[in-house]
Amino acid sequence: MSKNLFNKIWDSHKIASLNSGQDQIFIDLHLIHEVTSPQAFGMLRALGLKIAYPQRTFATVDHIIPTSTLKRPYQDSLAEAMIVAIKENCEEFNIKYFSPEEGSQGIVHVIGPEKGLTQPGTTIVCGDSHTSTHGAFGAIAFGIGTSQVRDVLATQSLALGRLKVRRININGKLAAGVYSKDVILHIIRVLGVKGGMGFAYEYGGSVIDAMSMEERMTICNMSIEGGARVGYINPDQITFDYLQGREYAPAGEKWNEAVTKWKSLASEADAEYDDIVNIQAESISPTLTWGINPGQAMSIGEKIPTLEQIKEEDQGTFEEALEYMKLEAEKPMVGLKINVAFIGSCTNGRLSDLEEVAKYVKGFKVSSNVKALIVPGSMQVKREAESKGLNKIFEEAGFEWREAGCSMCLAMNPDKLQADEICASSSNRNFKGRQGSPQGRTILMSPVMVAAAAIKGEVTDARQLFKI
Amino acid sequence: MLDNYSKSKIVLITGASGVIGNSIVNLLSEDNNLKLLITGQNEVKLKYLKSELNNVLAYLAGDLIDYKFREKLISSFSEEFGGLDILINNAGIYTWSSIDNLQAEQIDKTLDLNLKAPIHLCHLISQGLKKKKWGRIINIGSISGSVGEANASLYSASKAGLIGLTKSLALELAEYGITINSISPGWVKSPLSESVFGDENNPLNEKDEIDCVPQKRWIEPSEIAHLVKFLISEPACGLTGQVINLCAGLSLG
Ligand SMILES: NC(=O)c1ccc[n+]([C@@H]2O[C@H](COP(=O)([O-])OP(=O)(O)OC[C@H]3O[C@@H](n4cnc5c(N)ncnc54)[C@H](OP(=O)(O)O)[C@@H]3O)[C@@H](O)[C@H]2O)c1
Repeated sequence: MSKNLFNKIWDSHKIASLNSGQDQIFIDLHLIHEVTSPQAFGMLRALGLKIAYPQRTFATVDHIIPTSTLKRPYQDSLAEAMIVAIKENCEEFNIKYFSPEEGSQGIVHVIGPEKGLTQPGTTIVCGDSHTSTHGAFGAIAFGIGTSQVRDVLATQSLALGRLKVRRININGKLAAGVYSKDVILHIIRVLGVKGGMGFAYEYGGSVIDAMSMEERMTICNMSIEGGARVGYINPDQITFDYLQGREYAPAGEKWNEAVTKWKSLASEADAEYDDIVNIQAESISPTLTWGINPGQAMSIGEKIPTLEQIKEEDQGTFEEALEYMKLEAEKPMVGLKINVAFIGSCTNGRLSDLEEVAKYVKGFKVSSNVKALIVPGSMQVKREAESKGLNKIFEEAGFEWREAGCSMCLAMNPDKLQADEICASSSNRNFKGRQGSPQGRTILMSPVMVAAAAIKGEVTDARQLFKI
Repeated sequence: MLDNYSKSKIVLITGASGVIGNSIVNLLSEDNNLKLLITGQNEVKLKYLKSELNNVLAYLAGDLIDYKFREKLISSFSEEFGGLDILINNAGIYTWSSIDNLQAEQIDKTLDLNLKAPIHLCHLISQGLKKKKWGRIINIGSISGSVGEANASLYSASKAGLIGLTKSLALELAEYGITINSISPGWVKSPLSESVFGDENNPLNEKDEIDCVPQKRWIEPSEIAHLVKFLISEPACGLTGQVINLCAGLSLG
């Protein structure tokens, strides 16, 4: 049996074994954003420390920045202050900053890959739980807290405990109208929101092999929603083709060397795992959530389950979820009226997500009862989408077309639900109040399903509406 | 998961924007039977915690030195969520100073935040807890309050005051099913401890301090969080009025 990719990367990044049983691990790439970094810089200053490797940290702004306008100063003075602070911190500590001033900002997990910073075989951290996104490239990537942000700035390393590795095989072929978002929602539904605690998830199988990098990122992005801090996919030709020519990717002779090295890192067929799970692609339908965590999900053709139908460990929040969502067991989700539709986020705000939506919404109109937003994941995605005319298609159909940012995924910015509004959302979390209103309700689904809901004004099977 | 809960418990955590508070909020948020209310001064950090974690119902940012804010905190949360079940007094500041150099304002500020705010918050929720015949209060003290620390007389006094609060209130509330305990941590890496070692007038440095700790290490914030989790659980119902030194042996001398 041979080592899997996770253990190969871990071993090659281990600086020391610590008394605590943890390992000190070198961090190749550190991404920072406006919300979890200011205090870390404050702590560095208090201790009079310098950044160990400033060239390994990259900054941008996404969480608190408004997406309706780029006009400064921002209406929210707190947002303005934070954007000023990150700029000053980056200047003082000599960190590359993808900024609104340059028009190069975006969601940190969209920017890393698109700039070619995210590379196979690396360790990547960011003060944000969806950092697992970068695992799509065959990297160990995970979210960290503010004090760890400081540790990485000061030492470019972290004390960490090794994770176990669970291989998740998705074999077979996905039906038309079933997307990578459905695959990951299905996985979380099957394994539970805590099922991945203590594990890194390695996704593989014929379905994953056939996916584009952007689809793979959607899968890895939501690993944490299943309890796994790390989720990754072995690098292959699709990975290399995506990376070649990007700004920070190796070039010239270095490129060939890098590819040879990256190939050697992928888990072999005889790699050892702590656990293996097999899922058949044909069992996956368009999937959406009915509850208050991403594991409380069902396929579009099903009815909301009863208490008896769900796993015992999930029964605790069952009634709470239905009460909060104002839903009833044994009823379908299809036909449920929605108020807001949100397409975007680090899960589904990339160009291919927008292209897929544009393909179907042409000629349709958003229901007059629905406020519908499309928020590109980065300014680069925005420009590319505009150069393909996607914004025109969206605007004609009645969607608002925004600047780049996290927007309504987490409502730290002006985009928020009001009262108990229901939002069909392509984001990653449906916790109570996640989208800004303490009574606001979130239904997670794929971008195409969100678009269908926006048009019909209610939850609907996109395959029927769009004749997919 | 906590046993025997018919309904979820409402928990208020002060200092949630700090390192130890953050860790407590993170751990408790995994328990669906707990619903968390968080406070601190840094609004963005609270907002972020709320959006990142499940079971965090609401946040309110403000200055606990201001007694009006304490009243507002309890009244607005009680109105909205129907009264607290668990209070975790964790907000605190450290003042490193010789007795000669202490400023009058420092004395007020430290005692106001570290001691008066916890006493006042206990006062504001005590009747509600008595009515429910159930409650848990945890005070985050410091081993400086148990064993003394040169040039930290003010801080130690504030934390020693919490021990008095813990013991006396535990007696007073025992018959109502309310327990109150203190955790006294040793050194934890946080802005608070860094303000000590980063102070240029302070001859102490991190390495020497940690060398004095019998286990030769920092306390991890999660160790405190796990102890909090136990102390608020049903099996800990007989544990009250206690001060637990979680300090990697530092209090042993
Ligand atoms: N670190 C240690 O070595 C250590 C050892 C023993 C005991 N402790 C105790 O542990 C507790 C937490 O400390 P920590 O290490 O986590 O430090 P920390 O990271 O500095 O956190 C302190 C917390 O207190 C809040 N706070 C400060 N002044 C406040 C005010 N005027 N009103 C309301 N909240 C205020 C802070 O809010 P903002 O950040 O939003 O201002 C922050 O949330 C303290 O009671 C401390 O005495 C710490």
